[in-house]
Amino acid sequence: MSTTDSGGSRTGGFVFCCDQAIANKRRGARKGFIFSLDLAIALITVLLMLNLALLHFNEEKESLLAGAKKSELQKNALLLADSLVKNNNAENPLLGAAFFDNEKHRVLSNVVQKELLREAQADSFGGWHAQALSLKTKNGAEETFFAEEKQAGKDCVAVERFVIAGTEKALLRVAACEE
Amino acid sequence: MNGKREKRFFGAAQAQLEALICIAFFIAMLGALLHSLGQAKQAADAAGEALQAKSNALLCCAAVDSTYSNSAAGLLDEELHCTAESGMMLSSAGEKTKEADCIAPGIKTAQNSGKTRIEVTLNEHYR
Repeated sequence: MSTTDSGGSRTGGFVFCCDQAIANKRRGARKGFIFSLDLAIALITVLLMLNLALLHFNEEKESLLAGAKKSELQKNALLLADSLVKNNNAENPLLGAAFFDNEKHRVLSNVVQKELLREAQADSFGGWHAQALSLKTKNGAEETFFAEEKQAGKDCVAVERFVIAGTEKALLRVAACEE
Repeated sequence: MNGKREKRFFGAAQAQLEALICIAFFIAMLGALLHSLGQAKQAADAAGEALQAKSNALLCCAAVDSTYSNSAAGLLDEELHCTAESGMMLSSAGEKTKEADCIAPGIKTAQNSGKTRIEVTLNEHYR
């Protein structure tokens, strides 16, 4: 915008406009960094880093929990298989299917009775249950004594032990799943 | 000249005000951070107690189930930080109590010679 005097020469208007713009710019620069973007960017960066750290810790926690649950299930499956091959329990063959030698009056560990295994049934132990029991002989023949349907989303662990079934070597497989 | 002095005066005052605001904000952030760290420590301590309780319960169950499997008659003179209840082993650490399921069918807590003991009903290997 410009004004002209009676002589027609430009006075002040355009020049005043430029000076005003420069003055405004300088005034803005004197307002300090609070009003600048630097502090905002720094704050956003710090908050992002904190958020990432929290997410990482949460994932680590979930991973540790899952690992601990799996370890517990493995322990339970191992001890169930141990009890199965070392005890003779006619009332609950799942806890003891070892052969009892009447002549020696003692249980023969790791020697299993197929008759007792056939009577074994799936059982629940609170937070987990026996899901399957099978015996695979050396010639490849496999006999499944019980096998429940595996529930979706539930973790399972299988343990195998070498045993003697009758007179032949076999692989006893015990599967346990969480409830 | 007065106008320039006034500009300088208000410029310096503004800078001091900004510095004060920045320091106050920094102290507030520091306080929030320290509070968060305290909260995190409390949560970590609670988690540690829960882990200790669960580990003890699992250890007790492993000892009991091994005793049952091997028909280990006799007294296991080892301190276990657990009690038996309804076929489960319970263990406490701090304010956390955790449980573990055992395989052995007959386990119970009993008092013997002034001490709390865990009794396991065995399946005899020699009959």
